[in-house]
Amino acid sequence: MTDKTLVVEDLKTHFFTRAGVAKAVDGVSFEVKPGEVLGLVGESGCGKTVTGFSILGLVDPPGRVVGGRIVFDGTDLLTLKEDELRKVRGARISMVFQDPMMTLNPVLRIDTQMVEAVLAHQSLGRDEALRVARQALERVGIPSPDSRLRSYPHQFSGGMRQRVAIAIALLNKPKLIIADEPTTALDVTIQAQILYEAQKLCRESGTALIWITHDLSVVAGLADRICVMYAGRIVEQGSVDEVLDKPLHPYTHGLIGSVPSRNRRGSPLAQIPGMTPALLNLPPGCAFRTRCPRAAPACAQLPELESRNGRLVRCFYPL
Amino acid sequence: MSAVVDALPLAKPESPLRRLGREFFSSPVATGAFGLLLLIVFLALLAPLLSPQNPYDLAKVTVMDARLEPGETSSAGFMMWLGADGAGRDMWSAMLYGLRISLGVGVASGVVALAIGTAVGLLAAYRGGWIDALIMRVVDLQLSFPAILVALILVAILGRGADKVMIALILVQWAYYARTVRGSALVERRKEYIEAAQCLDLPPRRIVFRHLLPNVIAPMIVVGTLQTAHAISLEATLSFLGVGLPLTEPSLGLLIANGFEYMLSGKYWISFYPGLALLATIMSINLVGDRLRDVLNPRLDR
Amino acid sequence: MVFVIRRLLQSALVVLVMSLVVFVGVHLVGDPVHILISDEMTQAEIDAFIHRLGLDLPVHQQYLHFLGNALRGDLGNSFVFGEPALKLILQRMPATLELAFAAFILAIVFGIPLGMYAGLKPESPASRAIMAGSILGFSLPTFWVGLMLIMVFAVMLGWLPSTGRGDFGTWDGIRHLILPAFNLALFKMALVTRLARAGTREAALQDYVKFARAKGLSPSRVVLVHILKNILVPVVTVLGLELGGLIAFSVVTETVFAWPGMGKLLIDSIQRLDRPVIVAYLVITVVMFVVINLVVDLLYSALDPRVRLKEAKA
Repeated sequence: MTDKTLVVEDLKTHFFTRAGVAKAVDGVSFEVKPGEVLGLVGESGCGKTVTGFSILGLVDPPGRVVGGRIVFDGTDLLTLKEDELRKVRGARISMVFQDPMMTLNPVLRIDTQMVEAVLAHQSLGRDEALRVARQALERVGIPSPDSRLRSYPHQFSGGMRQRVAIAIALLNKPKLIIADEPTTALDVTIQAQILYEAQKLCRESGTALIWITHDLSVVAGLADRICVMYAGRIVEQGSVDEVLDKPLHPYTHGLIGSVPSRNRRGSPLAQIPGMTPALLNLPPGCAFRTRCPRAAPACAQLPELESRNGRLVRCFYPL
Repeated sequence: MSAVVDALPLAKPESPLRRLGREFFSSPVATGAFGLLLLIVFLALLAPLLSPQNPYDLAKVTVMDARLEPGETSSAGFMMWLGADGAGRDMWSAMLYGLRISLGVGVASGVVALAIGTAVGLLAAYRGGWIDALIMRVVDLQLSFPAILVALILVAILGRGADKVMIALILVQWAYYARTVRGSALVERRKEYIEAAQCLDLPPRRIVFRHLLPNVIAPMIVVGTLQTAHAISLEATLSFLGVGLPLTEPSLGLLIANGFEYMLSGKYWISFYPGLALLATIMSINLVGDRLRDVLNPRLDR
Repeated sequence: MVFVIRRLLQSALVVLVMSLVVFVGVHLVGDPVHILISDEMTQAEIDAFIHRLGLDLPVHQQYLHFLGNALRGDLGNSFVFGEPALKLILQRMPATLELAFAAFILAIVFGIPLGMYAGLKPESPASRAIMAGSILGFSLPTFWVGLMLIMVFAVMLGWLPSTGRGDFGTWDGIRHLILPAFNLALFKMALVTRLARAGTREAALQDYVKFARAKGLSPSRVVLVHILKNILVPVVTVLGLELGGLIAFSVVTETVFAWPGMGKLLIDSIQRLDRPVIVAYLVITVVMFVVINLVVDLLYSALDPRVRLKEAKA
């Protein structure tokens, strides 16, 4: 299917630790079309970040992709050798990380860090590369880019740093951007700005965006489609409006219900009882079984993702 | 990676000492070093029993045996496995006695320096304010100069003699202990259990000794082992240079110095074996200390 | 600029304090008269000497006198050579500096690459060997290693000369320099290796390294630019301070290899009780130390941009 930017099929990434094998990503499949924003949602530890890393081949030992296909623009990334993969990274697929203070090297200037990203993929002169960098900074709304280029990361505020990171992601005009919780560390107002700009950029340039987050409210305004992950598997998938209005999976329902803004004042905050299960010790069958109000004996078998009204759900007893 | 770590199952609690032992000995190198260290201490303690000859009993030593090669027999009839030195002393015996002195001086000076440094460090951390600032200035000043220089200055001022060397070694080392102890005590001091103890109005001395000190012990042990190795090396160096322990208390350093003149004529054993003993001692202490540091440091990822 | 001046003043203060310490040490602990006179003078000569040096004056005046003389470069005359002690020390200084710098360079040139390699591939056998070697490196007593080096390379193999300095700047000079420089460097090399390894290991785990890889940068750029620049700061700081240590520790190497530097002079003087030379050595070394510390501080702020800003704000 060449009109889809990214097709992930049955991706499995496991971590081989001394205490056992943790199946961080256990059979995840989804697609992203050009210009589309896909929200990948779940609690910490559900495997969404590892999914993002797996796409770019950045999973560090003791983790390893053990199965599946990642078809980007027609090529299975898992079959590529390291130097071919390097040509993809930063140029055709970019990634934005969560904490820009840690992702920008503190002892190197901004222009160094931007120019090297350009020069790694395009054979331009240094001045040309600087021009590209300056343009990218302007695009993300950073004033006086020339002096900013000569600064160091710690001289920027959090919001600015993240804009720089996004600018770096845009330098080589990628077809897909993977954003891993990019606004979690920022103020709410800055967050809103960045979300708006991200959406604008994608519409304008046709870049696909995978937005990884644990915050449903972020995804609600931004994404076109949403995948809800739990314990390494996708439990619900569909268009954002449908999933958030009428969740089918009990976990999604619980997630939505636990967002404080949806509560009436005075009534106790809803929570999902229990804790996420230890990845090394997943119960057989449906992983949500131990916390699900609708669990039944049948749930001891792992449900498959099934299609319901144009959505996918992994549950024997969807809502 | 917090995702995976969060998901690890809770372990059954085991006593800290036991866990320390288990983790320490899980490294074959550290276990070997520990064993070697025990052997060395054993040899040093039992030196008189294990050596065929007391090399400092002038009646037993004769210059007839001088510079015998390893494996030859002495005039008293016993085998000199490691040869004899320029005065006819059996190297094996000399080595054992020298080991005793080197180890003794190193450990003794270390223990005293530890006591002083710990007391000062705890004082600085607990009292804070200008006492802390003053003490740390002094410590920083001393630590900004290399140990050997400080030792040489002290020896130049104090003069020669075994007690002066001890004083010099102690003065060189206390600052490291003081700084380490103060550092960890400061970290601990901010923690809540100290505040709780203060709220209970416990007397300061009790807080310091019963609450603060046990938590500070771990880095102290690490610094202690590494410092002791350093002290032994420093004493040997001073003795080698001729400004350390006097001839009546020949440490390994002096033995090596004695063998210096014979080196160029190929009689290596006079310097070689004491040096090997010194190396084995220092290295085993360092390996043990290194392993202790890895095991006691909570931040290190395994 | 303010920063520089402030550090200069601090350094001057340290030198002053150290001179006070040495002076007080000499006064309180030892009889200064005995320390500064030779054992063979007659009572009349001693009295004259005491008076000439102003030792019959109150202590604080003596200290000022001492300082005044010191600033003029007069630290007394050597008993053994009869020449100004300061001049003797300064004559020998170049040899010591040559040795110390050679060792310094060796420590960096070998230590950093080895340490970085061990940090990048911590589980590989080569890396384990490097770490084992580093423990050996700082456990080995320097003087013993020196002896063994002479034994093996000079006596048994005959490849290199065993003692002396040779002609500076010639191939002969370099041949003489190899063994002592390597001997002196060994300990520091081990330290640098361990430091570089720890720093590299820590840096490699940082997010900015992952981000750099996500940008598609080549591994060599990631290592040589991103990681190296980050470990350079702590390594250089420690190394800079260790340079002073090298100069002090050259005492040992100079003794073993009969290298005609300040250190050997110091030891000989301690043994011959040539006290003015001892004092001169201590003063010179303290000054050198303070200068080195100052330079390292300035270098540190030049290398790590975060420090520059902090100091500017302070």
